[in-house]
Amino acid sequence: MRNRDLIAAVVTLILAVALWPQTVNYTNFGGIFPRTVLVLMALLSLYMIIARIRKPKLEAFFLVEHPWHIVVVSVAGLLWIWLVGVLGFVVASVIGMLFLVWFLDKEKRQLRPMLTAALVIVVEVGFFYLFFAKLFLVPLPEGIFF
Amino acid sequence: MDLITSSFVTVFSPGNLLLMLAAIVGGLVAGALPGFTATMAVALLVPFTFTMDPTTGLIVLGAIYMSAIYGGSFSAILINTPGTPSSIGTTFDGYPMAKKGEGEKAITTATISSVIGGLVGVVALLFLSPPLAQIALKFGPPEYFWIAIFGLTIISSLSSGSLAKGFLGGLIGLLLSAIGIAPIGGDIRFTFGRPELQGGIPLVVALIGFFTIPEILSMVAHGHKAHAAASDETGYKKRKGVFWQTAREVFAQPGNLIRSSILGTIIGILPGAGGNIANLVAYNETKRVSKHPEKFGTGIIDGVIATESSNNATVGGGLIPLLTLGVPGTPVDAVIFGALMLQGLNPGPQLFTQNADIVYSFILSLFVATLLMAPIGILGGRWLNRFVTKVSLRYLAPSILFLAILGSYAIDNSLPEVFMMLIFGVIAYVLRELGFDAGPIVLGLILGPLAEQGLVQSMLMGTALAQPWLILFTRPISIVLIIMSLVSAAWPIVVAYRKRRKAGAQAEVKEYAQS
Repeated sequence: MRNRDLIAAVVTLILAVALWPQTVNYTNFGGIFPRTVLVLMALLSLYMIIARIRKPKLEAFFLVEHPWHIVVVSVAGLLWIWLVGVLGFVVASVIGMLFLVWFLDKEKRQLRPMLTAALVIVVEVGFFYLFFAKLFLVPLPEGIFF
Repeated sequence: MDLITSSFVTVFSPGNLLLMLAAIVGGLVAGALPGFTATMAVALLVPFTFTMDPTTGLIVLGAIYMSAIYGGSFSAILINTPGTPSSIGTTFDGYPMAKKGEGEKAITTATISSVIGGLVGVVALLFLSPPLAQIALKFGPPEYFWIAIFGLTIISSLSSGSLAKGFLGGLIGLLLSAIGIAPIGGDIRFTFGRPELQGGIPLVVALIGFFTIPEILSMVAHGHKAHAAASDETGYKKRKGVFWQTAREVFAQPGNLIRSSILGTIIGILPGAGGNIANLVAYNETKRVSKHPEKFGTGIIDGVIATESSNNATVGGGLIPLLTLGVPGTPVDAVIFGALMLQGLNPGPQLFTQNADIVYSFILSLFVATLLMAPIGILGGRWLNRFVTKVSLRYLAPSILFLAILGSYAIDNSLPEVFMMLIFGVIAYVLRELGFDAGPIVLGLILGPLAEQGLVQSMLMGTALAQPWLILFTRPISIVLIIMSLVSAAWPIVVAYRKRRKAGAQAEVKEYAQS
């Protein structure tokens, strides 16, 4: 249990202070809007900080069953997108999805369920590939394959 | 009379009806796919309409437009991802309904509301076009600035916890909207030297990131519990009579339906403001006048009725300035504007006199398409609901991530934008854990450009005055909008005060009774 609002307000105050120097060289018309937003953000953050120091409100956060899943899925997502540019949309998506299916269910990591999963994924990716690339003419990345 | 008869004959010809049905199905699919907006669906179809006669081409475009706006509700309800920006508000109550095992009820509510909203918009298009278009012309930069401010007061409804945190979320959204080249001044802002940020944050990319990725991360972090729809307790159960029961509940809220549809029509008429703003304004207004505002966000049909009736009403509303003045109100209307020009038609007052047969056939076809949307949407939605609720988490989470990647790429065919989507998503997850709702942030992102342009252009307009900012307070429509903004912002404080007073009075009575 932590003072979640206080942490949130400190984060937004740091954001406002860190971004302010960038606005110094903006023209009058280009700078009026971001400057106003940053000032309001800093003031509101300060108000929240004072309010939560005077009257703390303890709340649970980041209380999850599998915290590592968040990290792995986020990193896998970034790698998947990077692979789209290298291997092409279809191949990268099949690999990305297959990895996540394997990772998310420890009980079904045997050959047979994984082969079924691979088949389902190939059909799903293939369907959307044809739908977008051939029907809607969206040029999906080809990479070194297709 | 001849005009009406000939319009009926044209619209109800077998060929046109068949094409309309195909366009409705196509629009529903496009709308339901995250990242595939109504604008993209209509734009993609324009080349296919070249070879058609003008009336048929417009019938097809109108049908796909109407159904794509409605289709966005499917993914909003089932996977908490607004298929189009017009369905952002539908996630607030639609998804909680799906989590409670009421996905079919939510989809039925969205269908009926979309049909009613669509019909109201089309009726306004048919009967009120000239006067409404004239009012819209009176809106200048100061009025648009105040519309954006009025829109920002909605934050009080969208924030589930602390109001200050809701406004901080809105400011984060406004800050995100300032990334890129300044609309006036030309400054390159907050890009950190990355050229891909110069164009600003694409709204749909941010929407997918802010709504989809936190949901995926939450699913995988909490295991099967987060995907309640897939659990045995609340998962899909075949229920009889859901449609009629839901229809009765929806029609028991005529005020909500009418108010939201009218709001959608009016907002649709204003150039620059479309379904993405209308659905949030309607949600806010419905919550504000509701007898049980605390239940909003927990999965009640009131919110879904408001958002879905208003966003479909913007279709007819948006076409009013387009057809009567030649001013496209939304990006989709701009695409239709192009399609009209390509067919040799000039949008504007003369369209109603020189090509009346085409215009009235188009309006009638919108009416018919809106009605046809209902059976197709109910059947399609029911099937989708069964499908999503039966898919296990190990397939669902990767499949949603796959659709998010595909959708964010399809916007501009840009891989950096896909990275942007995922990074936004992870940030949105952290912000959610810190207590920031996605709603206010996205609202800030949507209204930021409108507010900034309104503010800066007003300052330019006001250079003749002693103080340029005075122009914001001197025009009659601006004053009305200022009053509306003040009332909307003060409303939650009034409600909280009333609640406190009531609770205090009850406590006093209790104390007195005990003594």
